[in-house]
Amino acid sequence: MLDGELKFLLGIITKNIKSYWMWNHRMWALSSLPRPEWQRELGLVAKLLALDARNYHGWDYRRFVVAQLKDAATDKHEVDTQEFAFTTEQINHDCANHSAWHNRSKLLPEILAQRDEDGQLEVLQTENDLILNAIYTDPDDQNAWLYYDWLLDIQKSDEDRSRLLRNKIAAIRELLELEEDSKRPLVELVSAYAELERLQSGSVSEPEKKECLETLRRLESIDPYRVGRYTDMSRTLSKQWALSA
Amino acid sequence: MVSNELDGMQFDVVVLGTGLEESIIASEAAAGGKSVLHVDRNPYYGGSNACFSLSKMLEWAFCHRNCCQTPSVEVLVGGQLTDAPTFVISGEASDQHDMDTLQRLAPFELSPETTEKLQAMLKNDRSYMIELVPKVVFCRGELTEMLISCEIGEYVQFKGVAHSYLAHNGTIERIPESKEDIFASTSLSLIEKRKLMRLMTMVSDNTLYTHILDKYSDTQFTQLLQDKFKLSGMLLDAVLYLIVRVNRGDTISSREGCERLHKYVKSIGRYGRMAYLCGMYGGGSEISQSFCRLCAVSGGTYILNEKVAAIESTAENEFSVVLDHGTVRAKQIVMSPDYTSTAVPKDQI
Repeated sequence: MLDGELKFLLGIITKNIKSYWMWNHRMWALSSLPRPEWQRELGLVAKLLALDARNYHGWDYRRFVVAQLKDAATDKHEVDTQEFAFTTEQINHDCANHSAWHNRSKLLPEILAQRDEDGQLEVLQTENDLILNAIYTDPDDQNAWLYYDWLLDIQKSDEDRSRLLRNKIAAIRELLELEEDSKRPLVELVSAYAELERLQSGSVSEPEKKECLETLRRLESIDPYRVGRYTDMSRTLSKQWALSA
Repeated sequence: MVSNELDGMQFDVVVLGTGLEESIIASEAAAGGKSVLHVDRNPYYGGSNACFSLSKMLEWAFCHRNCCQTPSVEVLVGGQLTDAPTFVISGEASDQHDMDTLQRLAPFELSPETTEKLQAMLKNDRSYMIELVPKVVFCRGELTEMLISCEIGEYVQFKGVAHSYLAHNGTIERIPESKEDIFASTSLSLIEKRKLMRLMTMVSDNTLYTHILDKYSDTQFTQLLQDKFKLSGMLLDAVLYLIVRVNRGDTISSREGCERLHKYVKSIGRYGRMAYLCGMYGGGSEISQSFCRLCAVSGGTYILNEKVAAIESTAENEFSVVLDHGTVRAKQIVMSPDYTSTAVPKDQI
């Protein structure tokens, strides 16, 4: 009886890919089976995601299926590695696929845990390259910038974080050489310095701080819709850094 | 056909040659109610836009070996021409085509390696679709729109040009087209990716595009690419020769370059992640044939393998055309350029 239920669900989910109650029902139906075929289910989800690559329900369901697979699997690392590769594929296919980036950020800690220190550096380098690729292709797309933030979050020490921030600043500077008035990179530059200073007081030099305020002033004319935001940032930073605005 | 079956017939328009332009004119004339006779000296459609299998391509090359624009058959044949045989391009398919072709090549001194290579290639004769004039069509260009409105798009098949490659400094590099391609590309550096994206986004935005044109209206496109977009090296070549399709050695104005680039960017996404389509069976001849079909459906008469001996102007708005199967009268004549040099004495045009 449950097989019939699953067939029926597949049909209606394909037509109503955003209805969470149908996905939930499928989850219940599969879990109720004595021997559910999770591998096959993975293939099905992949097909459904091909129809709608950013469908939150699809991705959430995929994480559920992967969790089940991991429970049953002998080599849990292998499952994670394959999923990681899947996100790479999805991102290459469409670099603005937020769901793919998000899923990747969830898997990254597991991938890092599998490696030794050198291996971890390697992984971080690859992630860095991926982000740079996205930023250079479209500097205003938020996905890569958000991923940078996630990378910062999973760092173990403030030292690592500071190092990552310095890398980020260097990359932004190179990009700005090509396009001086690129809005998002400019804002990210200021935020990076702000975060650096917050992590370790005194790590940002006086000329750099002055540059941040100058950048915010420039942004007021580049992006007049958000004048209020930049003025506010200026005021806050000036107070924090005890500089005259 | 009986040898003088056409004698004395009268037509509003006689069209010589079945290339693209004259076929479009023929179909329009017939649709407008004119009586049309459309002939071609060849046993195939398309004239100088025709598309051939390998063996027919060789035959065509031999027949035209004395014409100055023929691509050199010597590249393939390699040896001295010891004889001057006359070939006829056969209209029928022949199962023996590879043997026939090799036989015809006999008077030419081919090296054994060349003969062997040719034999191997001729085994797959039908897999070759060699266009005399390779053409691609913009997904959002005028020809595509015309094909859709004439409903020719319903039966002529096209394939998207999925990948484009540039020969540069002795290597062949794949040049990405859409944003996703650019992201995933391994042949461009980060900076080159940024420059290319910037170029495409600026040109596809209508306000930015007119602004660029105002500022650079008197310059050449190459200069615009170098000065404003800082393109150089492989990327500059890729944009000029692959994306905008300028011929090497030619220059185009900034206005024209931007317009083509604009059309290119707008074409991406209509049928997939590519800007160009190419005809599955050769662009030129398939499309010409489709227009001929439209003409025939509207009443036009078609004769292939029909030679034109002479054209005479007999009176105001009257011509007499001497064909293989008789002499016809026509009020107007339309001909492709390949007919002007041979069919008519110059003083009678």
